[in-house]
Amino acid sequence: MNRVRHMSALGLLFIVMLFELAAFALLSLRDGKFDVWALAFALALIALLFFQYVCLLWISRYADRFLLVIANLLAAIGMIVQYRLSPETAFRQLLLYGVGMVAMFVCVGLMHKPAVFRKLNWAMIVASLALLGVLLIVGKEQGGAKNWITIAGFSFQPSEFVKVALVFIAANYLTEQSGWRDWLPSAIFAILVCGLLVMERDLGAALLVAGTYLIIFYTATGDVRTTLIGLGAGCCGAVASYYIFDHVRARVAIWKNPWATYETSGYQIAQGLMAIASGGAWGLGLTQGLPKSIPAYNTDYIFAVICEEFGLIFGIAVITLYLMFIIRGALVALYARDRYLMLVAFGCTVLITLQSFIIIGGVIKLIPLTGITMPFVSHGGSSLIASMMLLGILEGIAMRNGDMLEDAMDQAMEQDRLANLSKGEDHAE
Amino acid sequence: MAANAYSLATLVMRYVFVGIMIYILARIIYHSISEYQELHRALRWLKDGYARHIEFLPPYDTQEGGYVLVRSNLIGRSPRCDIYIDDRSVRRRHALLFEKGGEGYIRARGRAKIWINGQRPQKRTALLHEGDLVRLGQVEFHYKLKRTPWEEKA
Amino acid sequence: MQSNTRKYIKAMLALFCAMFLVLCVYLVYIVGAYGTRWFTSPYNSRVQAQKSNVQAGRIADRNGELLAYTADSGERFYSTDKARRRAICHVVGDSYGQTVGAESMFAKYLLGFDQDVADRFVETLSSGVRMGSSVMLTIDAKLCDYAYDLMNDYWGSVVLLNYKTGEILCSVSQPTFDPNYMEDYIEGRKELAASAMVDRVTMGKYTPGSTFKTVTLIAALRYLPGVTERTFDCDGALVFDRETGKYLPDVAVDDSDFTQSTTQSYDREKEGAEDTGAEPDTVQKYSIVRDYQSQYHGEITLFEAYAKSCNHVFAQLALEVGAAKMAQTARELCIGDEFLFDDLLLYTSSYAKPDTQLNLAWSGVGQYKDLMTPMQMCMLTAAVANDGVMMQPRLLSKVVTKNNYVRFTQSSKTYKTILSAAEAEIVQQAMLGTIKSGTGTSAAVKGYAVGGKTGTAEISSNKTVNTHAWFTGFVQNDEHPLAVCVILEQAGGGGSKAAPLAGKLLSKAISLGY
Repeated sequence: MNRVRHMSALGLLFIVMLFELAAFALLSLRDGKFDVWALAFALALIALLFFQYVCLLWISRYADRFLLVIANLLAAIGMIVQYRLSPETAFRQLLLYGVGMVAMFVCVGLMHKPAVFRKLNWAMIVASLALLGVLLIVGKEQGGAKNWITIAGFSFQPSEFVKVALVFIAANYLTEQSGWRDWLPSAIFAILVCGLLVMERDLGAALLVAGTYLIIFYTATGDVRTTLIGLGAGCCGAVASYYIFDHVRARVAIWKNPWATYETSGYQIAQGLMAIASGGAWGLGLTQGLPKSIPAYNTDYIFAVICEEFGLIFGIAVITLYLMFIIRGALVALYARDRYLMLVAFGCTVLITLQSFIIIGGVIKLIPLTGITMPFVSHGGSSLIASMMLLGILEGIAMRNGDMLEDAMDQAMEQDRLANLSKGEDHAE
Repeated sequence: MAANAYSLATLVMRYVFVGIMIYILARIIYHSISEYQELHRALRWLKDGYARHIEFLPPYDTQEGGYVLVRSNLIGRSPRCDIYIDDRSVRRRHALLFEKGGEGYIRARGRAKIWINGQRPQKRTALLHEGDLVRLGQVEFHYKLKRTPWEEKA
Repeated sequence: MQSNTRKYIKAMLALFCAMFLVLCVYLVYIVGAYGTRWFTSPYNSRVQAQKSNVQAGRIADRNGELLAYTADSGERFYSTDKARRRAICHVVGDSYGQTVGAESMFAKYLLGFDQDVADRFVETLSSGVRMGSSVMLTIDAKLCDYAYDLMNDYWGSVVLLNYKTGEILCSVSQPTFDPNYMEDYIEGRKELAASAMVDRVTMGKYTPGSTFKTVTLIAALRYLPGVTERTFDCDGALVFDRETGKYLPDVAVDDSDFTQSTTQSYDREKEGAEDTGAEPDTVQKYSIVRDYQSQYHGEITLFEAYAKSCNHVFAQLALEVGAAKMAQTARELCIGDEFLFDDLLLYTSSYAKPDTQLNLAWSGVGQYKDLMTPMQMCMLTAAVANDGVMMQPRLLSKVVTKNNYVRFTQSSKTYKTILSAAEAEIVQQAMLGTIKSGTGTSAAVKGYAVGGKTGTAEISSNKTVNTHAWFTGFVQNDEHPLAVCVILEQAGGGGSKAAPLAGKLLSKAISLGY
């Protein structure tokens, strides 16, 4: 295979490393004394990034380097902000980031044998429903939603992993296109998961699951009618939840006017908006803001902290980064050589899209706030690990795409050669 | 004073951070676009089976089927070239094969000499036609436009 | 089938791009439109926190008279003159975030949030205490003193604008507080009237009374062709059916039969800064809309009716224009606009679309549920005087760094063009008539053409509660482009109480060269 000219992303990598170094250097001088841990953190991040890059490219040169850079950059921004807020949480995040990296490589490996996921279909369905069911019984509450389980000292959010499983299950059933009997089990699964999540009051995750499934369904089947029915059912469900759950009512009320109930429910949104407004275009400067006045500054509202200290332009750049990730993810899906991988890749992309849109939209009061995390950036082990898994899946599929393309080109040139041979000599010179 | 200096530093760094971000974004966008242009071109070739390529004459015809040309190809002895020829008669960066307006051209670089069909071209940049025999130093190749059918794997 | 999926993926991708574009645009929009508002919100702890790092800059009036400054001890002091402090208290605000004046609206400049890197660099080198920039306001403190003095003990507000530039020259609201003692007020060591911290100029929503007839006039000009040529017969009260509110044009009643039927009390403290209005007079079957003290004018033209503030004519006009068009005119005149000015927090005035003809007639003369802020009323008059162009009111004149370098000078901005020049001219003519031969003669200023409208707003059906006295007017002179609005709560008649005050203020302003 001749070289399709590859643009080396090494330059980009170095700039990202420079960014991380600069930010942590600034953080290390925060209290007047030199904080060596900050620099150690930066070096760890840089090393991990470099390691990922080198390993992925070693596995296959068709790994999507830019997806990797974007995801790592987002994670780095998250960790910079978390270190600024509280170094302990940042180190925890770093640890989980390492775990996420391992999960990513595992997923990359698994994607070389995607048939595994088809075989594990029922295992995934049962496991997901079981986990969510267990949540319902023994789950611990946090922020009004029961979405945490503790196993052997580790607490994690199963809903994050169920989302990933959903993508595979949906793809499993939607690959064949022979009518509604085929995809019905996946729809039922999606409805059950939604239902369980709603019962656990994790409405953000329910919204995400419903939206993702509907979009995957539509792209797979093109069945506008059924999709609209599903959408309608979802809207009815949303409206019903408005009447049933008072905290949904509260959320909508504070979305319309958070200042009216400033003392109680509107506090978070109002603080977030004030933080974003205080940042202005360029931000107040790292460590110069007052981010701790915003509730959930580490998780849901981390975007407001970013806008406060780094500025609006930076915030828009972050939104654009997500958009680039989505575009590249969708391109991985478009260039996939078989339908199953196409759906899986697109499903992963949709998950990231919806999740980032919903949370950023909630923070800037475009849509009512829901309690989900910003992919890669927010503090939260399960969220980060699940996002890294999505990254791994996309990378794996990108590698497959490249390899298959290379095979196809080799095949084509072989055909070409044979065709020439049969035609006789071309130019005897 | 130190606190003041520190907050001044954070103020300055604001612009640095934004600048770095914008630069990173710009590079990602730029590279993504060019990467996908190349990919799209390769896919088009697979679909239409129409691509420029060059076939070296022995003993350099090591590549089965020749080298598929992309928009701009640097040929030379340096490993950094797109098409690498390990022959001392070829200069390190000998010539550039590029496409413009649907036509293929070759341009000799620096003091390199090229022959097309046995003759030196009048100008530095020359138009190539199907079947032209191009010689760089002691190495010769044919410039070809080929059609191949290819079915996309479902 | 597969290429279909590809197509859908591309379609979805386009949708996602659109979604994220909306996200970006919305973010930029809200920070652009509301950013200042949110930043200066009293809940924003960053502003308070900054005060421990930066010494707040000075606030001065347009002539450089010092209104607020921070002493070396870090304490914030206001003018040394006690009366002056009270006169400017609402405009300048306080340093505890209790009021919305210059202190909080311009915190960005006063507390050094706007310093760029070069300034900070110089500051770091000089290693003194960090100081914010100083702010020069557009008001003239002497005018404020004068207005404060004229208001005496009446509650209410006085505002004076330059209608060509939108600069606020004078803004006084009573009851006042003394900003030097804000901490004492908060701790409860000193007494304060309950609504003293409300700036009635921008946050007081009052029943406009007859001053609203300007709006009705404009509506009539727009929707009743030839209305300027008509003659009206003001011959008695307009009668409405009490139950349905329907207009009964053929019924005539004797005014003396009518006394008020409700004994609604009016608590000045409780109502604070928003009026709840009064009901039209009723007895048994009918409700009527009548003229002040039952003075009927006979045959009059439109301009005479405006000058003499004839309720009969304007109620009739409102009926003819209709509720929908009245509401539309009010909207077009920016009544109901949510204002997002950077310099001041101006509450929204409102015109509630009337449901019955009685209410429509009542709203046409500025009663029913009409509510206007004095600032909005002044802006309306200013627009009329400025050939229909409403300028954005501004309080900020200049921002000066502590090294006496002028960082920037604020320029005038047009808010909206609400009237055509022709319409403006007609309304100006009507307003000039009020001062020449109508209810506002006491607002006249020697040697200048003054136009305006008086208003006597009923705020309670209980006749023991006095009416609000309104006057709004302008000086028709390019050298002295002044627009004024005065409201004195429960002071009595607009022409007798508010207009003379306005006249004196205008002469004083002219004499000072504005």
